[in-house]
Amino acid sequence: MAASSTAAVHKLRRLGKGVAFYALILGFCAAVLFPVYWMIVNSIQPLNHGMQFPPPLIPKEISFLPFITLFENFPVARWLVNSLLLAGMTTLIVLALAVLGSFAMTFLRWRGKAAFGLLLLMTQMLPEALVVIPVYAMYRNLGLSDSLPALSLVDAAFILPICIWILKNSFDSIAEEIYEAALIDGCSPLGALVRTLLPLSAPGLVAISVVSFFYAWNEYLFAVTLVTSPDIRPVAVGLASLKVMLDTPIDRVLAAALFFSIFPVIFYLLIQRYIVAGLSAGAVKG
Amino acid sequence: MNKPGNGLLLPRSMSMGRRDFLKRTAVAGLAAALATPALAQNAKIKIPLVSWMWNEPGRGDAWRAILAKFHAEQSDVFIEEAGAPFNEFTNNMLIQSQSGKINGALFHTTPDLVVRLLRGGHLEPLQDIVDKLGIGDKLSAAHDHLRIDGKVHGLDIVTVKFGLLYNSAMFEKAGLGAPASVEEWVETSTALTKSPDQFGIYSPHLMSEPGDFWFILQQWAVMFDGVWADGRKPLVNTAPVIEGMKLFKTMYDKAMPKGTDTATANQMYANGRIGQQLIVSAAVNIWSSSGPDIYPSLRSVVPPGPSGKAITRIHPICVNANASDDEKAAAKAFVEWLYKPENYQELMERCLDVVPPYPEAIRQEYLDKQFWAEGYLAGKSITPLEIMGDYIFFNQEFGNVVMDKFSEVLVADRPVEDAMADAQQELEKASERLFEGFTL
Amino acid sequence: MVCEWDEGRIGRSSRPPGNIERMFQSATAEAVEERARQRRGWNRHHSLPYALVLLIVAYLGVFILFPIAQQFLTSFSNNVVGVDKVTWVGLRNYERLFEDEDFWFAVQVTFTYMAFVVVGAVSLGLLAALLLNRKFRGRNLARSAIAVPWAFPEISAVLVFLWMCNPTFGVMNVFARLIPGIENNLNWLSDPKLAMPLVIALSIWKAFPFTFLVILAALQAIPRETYEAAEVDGANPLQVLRHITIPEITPTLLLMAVLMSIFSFKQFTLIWLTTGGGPYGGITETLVLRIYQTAFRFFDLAYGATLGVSGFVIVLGLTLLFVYAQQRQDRARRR
Repeated sequence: MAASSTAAVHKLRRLGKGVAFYALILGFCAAVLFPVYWMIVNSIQPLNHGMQFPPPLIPKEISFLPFITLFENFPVARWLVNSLLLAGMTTLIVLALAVLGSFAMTFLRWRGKAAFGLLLLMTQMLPEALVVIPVYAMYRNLGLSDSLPALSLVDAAFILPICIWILKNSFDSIAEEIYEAALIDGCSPLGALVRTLLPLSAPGLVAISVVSFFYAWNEYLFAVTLVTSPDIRPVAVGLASLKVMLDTPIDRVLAAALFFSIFPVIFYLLIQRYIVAGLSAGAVKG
Repeated sequence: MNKPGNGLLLPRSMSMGRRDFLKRTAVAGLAAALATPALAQNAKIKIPLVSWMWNEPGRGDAWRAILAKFHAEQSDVFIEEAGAPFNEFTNNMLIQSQSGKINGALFHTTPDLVVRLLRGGHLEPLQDIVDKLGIGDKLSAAHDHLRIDGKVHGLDIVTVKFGLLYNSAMFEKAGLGAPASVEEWVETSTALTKSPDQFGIYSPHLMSEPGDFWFILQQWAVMFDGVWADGRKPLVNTAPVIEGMKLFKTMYDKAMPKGTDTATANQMYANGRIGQQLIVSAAVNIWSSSGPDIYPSLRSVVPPGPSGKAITRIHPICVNANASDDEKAAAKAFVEWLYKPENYQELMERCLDVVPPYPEAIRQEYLDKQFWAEGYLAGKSITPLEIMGDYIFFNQEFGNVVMDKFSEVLVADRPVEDAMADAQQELEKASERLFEGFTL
Repeated sequence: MVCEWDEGRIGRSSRPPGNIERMFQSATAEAVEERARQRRGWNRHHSLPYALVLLIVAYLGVFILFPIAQQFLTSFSNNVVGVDKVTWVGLRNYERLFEDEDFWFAVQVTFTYMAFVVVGAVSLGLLAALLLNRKFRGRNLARSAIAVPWAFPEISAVLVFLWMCNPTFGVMNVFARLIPGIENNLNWLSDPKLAMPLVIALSIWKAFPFTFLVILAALQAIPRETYEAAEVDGANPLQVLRHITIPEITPTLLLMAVLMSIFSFKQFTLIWLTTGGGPYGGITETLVLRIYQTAFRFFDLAYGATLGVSGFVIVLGLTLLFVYAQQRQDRARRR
C-alpha cells in the first residue's frame, strides 16, 4: 500500500514536472511568436479593426485582399526567384571559403593565426553605410553593378568573417587526434578535412548556412545600391518599394513581409534535420 | 454584416480604383506595350529616367503613359525606367555622385537633393529650353534657387504646396465649418477629437520620421509669417516661429493621435478617423487611390493663420551634366517636349496636380473640376529660399536641431521659448562650421 | 582507411615559389632542414595555411579592407557634398570630434545599448538552447518557432513593433494594463524612460535566435559520455550545468558575446525606424545613427567617416580583449 502510494506520488510529481516544463516552453514560444501572430492578424483582417482600443486579439473578419493586391500588382514571383538565387549563391560562397578559413584557423599550424582572427573581426566594425560608397565606385568601374552574382560576392564577403569564427568554434569541439589519425591513415590535410572533419561538424555547417542565407535574404543596403534594374530586384528591395513617397500601405507591407519570411523559415526547417544528423555523427567520434 | 464605412470597403474599392485606372490608360498602355519593342529597337538612342516615381501608385502610371505618348510621337529617343524606392533615392544619388558621376542622363530629384547636386556641378543648364518655349519670365518663383548666372538648372515636375486638407463629411457630421482663424481651428480640431476613435488633426512629430516631421513643421511657423533663417542668421527664437510651435503643441495635446507614425495616421485618415492634415497638394493623388471613401469629401483651405502663406517647393527634372553629348541632347529633347503646354497639361491631369510651373501648363476646365483644390490655389506661395535663407543647403541639419529641441516640448512639456532659445544657440554655434568652404 | 585525395599533389602545388629553389638543393640539406622544421613544430604542409588565408584575405581585402582604408582617408578631408573644393584638412575633423558633446553622448548611449543587448541576447539564447536541448515531444517545432524572429526582415519587424506600441491603440497597452497601477495607455516610444528599454527588447528579440542556434550546436557537440560520467557521480542538473555544460561551451559563449557586440554596435534599422534616436536629446541615438545622419542626411561625408573611424577604434579595443581571451582558451586546449 505504502509503496504503491509513494510510487503514485513519484509519478504525479514527474507528471507535474512535465506539465510545468511544457508550460514553460509554451509560454516562451508564445512570447517570442506574439509579434509574428500580431502581424498575421493585422494582415488578414481589415486594418480598421486593429486601430480600435482595445484591439481584438482574434481577427474579427478575414480578408485576403492585401495578399491579392500584392500578387496582382507586383512581380512577387520574380523577387522571390531573385532572392533565392542571391541567397543560394551567397551561401555556397560562404560555405566554401568558411570551411577553408576555419580549417586553417583550427587544425593547421602557422604564424599569424591571432592576427588573422582579429583581421576577420575588424572587417565587421565599420557600418555598411560607410563601406558602400567605395564598393559602389569599384563595381561601377568594373561594370559589375546590376548583377546578382556580383551582389552575392559582396554579401558573402560581409558575412564570411563571422561564419569563419562560428565554424572554427564548431571545429574546436572536434578532438585533434581525429584529424591526426586521418593524416596517419594517409589523407592529405584537405582530404582529412573533407572526409573526416566536415561530417563531424555538420551542426556548425548548418549554422553558417542559415546565417549566410538569412543575411543575404534580408540584406538591403547593398542590394538597393548595386541593383537598379527592376528585373533583378531581390525581396528586400521589393518590400521597401511598397512604401512610397507619401504613403505606406501597412496591410500590404505586412502581408508581403509575412509571405517573404516564409521562405527563410522553410529553409531553416529543411536544414534543421541535419543538426540532428550532426548530433549522431558527434556521438561516433568518442 | 459589414457596416458602411467598414475597413473592408477600402481594399475592395482600391481594386475599383485600379480598374478605373486601367480604363483610363488602356489605350496608351496598349499602344506602349505593342510599340515598345519596335520603338526601342528603332530608337537612335536609349536613356534611362532615374526616378522614385515608378513605384508611386498614381504617379508611376502617369509617367508611364507620358513616356508612351512621347515614344509614339517620335522615334529618335527611347526612355527607360530606372531608379530606387523613395526612401533610398537620395542615398543612391549621393553614393553615385561620390563615385564620380550620377547614373543616367535624366533624373528626378527632391528639393533637398537638387541644391547639393547643383553645387556639385552635376546639373546641365536648361535655360535654352525655357527660352525656346518662351516661358522664361513665367516660370514659378520656386525655381529661383536653381539658377546660376540667371540660368535655371532644373525644371519642376511636381510643385508641392501646403494647404489644410480636411474631410468635409466629418465636419458636417459634427456640425462644424472650415476654420477661418487660428482660435476657430483649435476649437474645431478639439471638438472633432474623441480619442481613441477619432482625432481632429495629424501632423508628423516623430524623430524616426525626420523628413516628414521637418517638412511640415516649417509650415506651422509660416502661418504666422515666421521665417526660419535670414541669410546665415538663424531666427528660430523669433516671436512668429515660437507662436507656430505653440500652436503645434496645443494641437498635439488636444487633437492629435500622439506618438502615431505617418503610415498609421494615413490609414486612420483613409478610414475617416482623422479630420484634417496640413499637407501638400501632391498628397491628394494618394487619397484618390488609397482612400476612395474619403476622396469625394476632401476639401482644402489656406493654412489658417494671419499670414495666409503656404510653402511651395518643387521636385525638378534634371539633365546630367556628366552624360555624353548625345545623351544630353536626347534628354533635353524629352524635357522640351514635356514642357510644351499640351504635354505638361496631360502630365498634371494624370498626376492630379493643381499647381503649374507656368500658367499655361494647366487647363482651366480641368482645374475647375478639382473640388478639393481651392485652398491650395488661394495660399500665397513662399519659397524655401525665402524661409530658410542660406540654410537651404543645410535644411536637414538645421531641421534636426529644431526638431530635437521641439520634441522635448512635445513629450516632456518643456516651454517652447526655452527649447527654441537652445536651438537658436546651437544653430548659431554650428553656422560657422557649416558655411566653411561654401561660397554662396 | 583509403584516402582518395592525393596528398602529395595538393601539398606541393600549394607551396610558395621559394620552395622550388630548395628542391634543387642536395637531399641531405633538405633532410636536415626537414628535421629542423619538425623541431620548430612545423608540419609538412606548412604552406597550405598561408595559401588558404591569402585567398580569404585577398577576397575580404577587395570588398571590405580597401573600402575601410578609403574611409580612413576621407576622415582627413573636408568632403562635404557640394563643398567648393575637396581638400585635405589634416586632423581638423578629429579636433571637432573631441569637442563634439553629441559624439561623446552617442558613445555612452552605444555602450549602454550594447551592454544590454549582449547580455540579453546571450543569456536568452543560452536559456532557450538549454531548454530545447532536452528531449521532448514537439522539440523540432519549438526549435523552429524560436528561429522565426531571426528570419523576419527587419523592416517588417519594425512595422509590427510600431503597430504594437502605438500609444492610442497598440496591443501592448492591453498587456501593460494587466500590471497593477497602470490604468492609462503608455506613450511607449515617445516616453524618454521607455524608449531605450523598448529598442533593446526589440533588438534582443531579433538577435537571440541566432545565439540560440549556435549555442544549441555547441551543446550538441558535447560528448554524451561527459554527461553520463556526471550522472554516475550523482551530480544534480545545476551542478552538471555549472561544472560540465558551461565550461564546455565557454568559447562559444565568448564568441557570441563578441558577435552580439558587433551586431549591436552596427545595429541601424531597428533603432532608426523606431525612435530615430529620439524621443529627444539623442536618448537612443547610437554612434551608427549619428554616422548615418551625418553622412547621408547632412551630406557631411568627411565627418561621417571620422565618426566611423572612431567607432572602429573603440570596437577594436573590445575585440582585442576577446582575441586575448580566445588565445588563452586555445592554448589551454592545445596543451
